[in-house]
Amino acid sequence: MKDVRAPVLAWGAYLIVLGASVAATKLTSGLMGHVFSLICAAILASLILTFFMGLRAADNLLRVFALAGLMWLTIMVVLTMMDYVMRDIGECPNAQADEVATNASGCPLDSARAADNP
Amino acid sequence: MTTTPSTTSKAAPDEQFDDLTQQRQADLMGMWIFLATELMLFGGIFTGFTVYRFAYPEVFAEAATHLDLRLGTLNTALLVTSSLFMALAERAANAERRRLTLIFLIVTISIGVVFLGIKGYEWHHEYTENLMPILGLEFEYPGAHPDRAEMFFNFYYVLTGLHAVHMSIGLGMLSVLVVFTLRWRDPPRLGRQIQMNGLYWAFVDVVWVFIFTTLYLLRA
Repeated sequence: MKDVRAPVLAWGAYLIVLGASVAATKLTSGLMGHVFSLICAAILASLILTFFMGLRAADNLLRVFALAGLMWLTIMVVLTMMDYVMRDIGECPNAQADEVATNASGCPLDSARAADNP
Repeated sequence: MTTTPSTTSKAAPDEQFDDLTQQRQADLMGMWIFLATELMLFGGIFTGFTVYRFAYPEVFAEAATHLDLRLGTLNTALLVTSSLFMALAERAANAERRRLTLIFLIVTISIGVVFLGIKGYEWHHEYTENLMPILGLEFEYPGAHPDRAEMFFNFYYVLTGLHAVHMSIGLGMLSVLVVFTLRWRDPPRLGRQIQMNGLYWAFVDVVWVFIFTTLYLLRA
């Protein structure tokens, strides 16, 4: 059997990164810890894609197809979130009185948006 | 380690291909396109989760603390270990080592079954805690905003449930490969079949990495 060393090393690296990610979750909190966990997830996924799914030895056309799936997913998430980031959804800590115009989430609309959405 | 010599190897490609290299490339391309459609299936759910995670960050982070981080971590380590044995099974099959291929496949299946067992234990624990808002079951959340926390648990059960379905399908396919390995009729073909199933199995692992991170690790 050839090329056994690479997947075994990748497995070891995976466990180390997983341990670091879980430790960071326990030791830290808030945005920094979450960002670190997401970076660790990207590293773990890359290890699997590269060593267990054969992208390391794949030809360029196959790599393009693999990356195309990730690209479509990125487009879907980013374009969807652009909508939600640009308008008020979720928590409304400074809720106004009932007579103020609100959107579906119960958040007050500013004057410009209220004019657009009578 | 015993090497079983192949006496029935058929190195010829299927009739629609010029050679085995072309056939293997076509196999790989088809499998990756299939995995891309699977990515879209899970991606839609992850996108929905991202929207609500952005909308209710505090509630979702608090709800995540009700999941068992130790069991989630154990399952993540188990799944990547099964992916390692799957990769080793592929190499053993390509080296035409029947017994080793069989052992690696059985270890992969065993770890997969343990994974599903732990997941089932987790679900049962959440059921006893009344944190299972599905099938009309009572949902009693001890924290603030139970309606928003219910949304978190809905995503949790959809994602982990869909993942478990994919695991079960993978285990079924691996069981078929065990039968093929026992027969050992066409080792080169078996090697290609194990490679395709290995891609699927590793993809399920990639999906779990993001399920584990978004549901278990992004906590308060």
